[in-house]
Amino acid sequence: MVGNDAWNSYARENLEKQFPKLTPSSYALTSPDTIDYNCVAWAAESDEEWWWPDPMEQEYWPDGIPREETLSAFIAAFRTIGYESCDSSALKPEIQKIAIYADAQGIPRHIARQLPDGQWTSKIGQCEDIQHQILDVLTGSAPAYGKVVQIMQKPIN
Amino acid sequence: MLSMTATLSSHPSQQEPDDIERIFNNLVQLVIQETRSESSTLKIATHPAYQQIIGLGQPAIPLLLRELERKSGRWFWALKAISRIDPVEPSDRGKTRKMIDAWMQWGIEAGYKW
Repeated sequence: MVGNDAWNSYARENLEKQFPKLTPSSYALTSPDTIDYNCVAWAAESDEEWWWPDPMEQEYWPDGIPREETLSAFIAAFRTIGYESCDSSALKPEIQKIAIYADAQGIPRHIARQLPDGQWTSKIGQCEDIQHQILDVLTGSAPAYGKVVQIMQKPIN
Repeated sequence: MLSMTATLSSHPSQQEPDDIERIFNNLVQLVIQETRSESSTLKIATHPAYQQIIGLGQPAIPLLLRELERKSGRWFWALKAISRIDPVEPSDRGKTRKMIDAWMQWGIEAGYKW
């Protein structure tokens, strides 16, 4: 458990309000809230950066990849660290997967990363990290993250 | 659904510092409440309350530095938009702690107190 009971209750209430499919038994809080990193960085296994293709050029984005909120730019960004597109989110030995969520306009909203046991880890914006059993719990209309539009995978080193 | 209700009652230059701080604090709370699950810096910075913080202009700079020191949100865009300065090295983009350090140092050298 992260934090004390009061903090846990507050964090959970906030998360479950924003993500109606997130039921108490479907996830666990795994970090305190922080602005140090976001979901994209966390999917790329960094907890010290905020990845985003912002036009103000404040945030980290891989060199040479368009600074635009498009699925193709996000796919290209993760190709720079060894990921390739694939069709299935099912757990495979020695393979690490990520799932990109996008809204109805196709704008990327979130990325989750698969853990070795098949569960998923997500950094929720400026809030906490959570571990969730299935991808579907973060889907839905805003402020939820839309739907999963792309799975990518890379061999585990 | 976002609620976008906070507005300024008149031009910032016609207001007392205490009014600016009160308005600023209300806008900060709105941004935090309504963008907490966002990873998109663009979505955070284009939230109406965030845009109104930028609209406060230079008087908001020390207040933004204070919020940055508290790590209450991503206020880098607002600081850059108002000051037209970016003290963060390109190699430190996105590295939150280094970005905060760079803005704190810039604020001190520019004579701001917060």
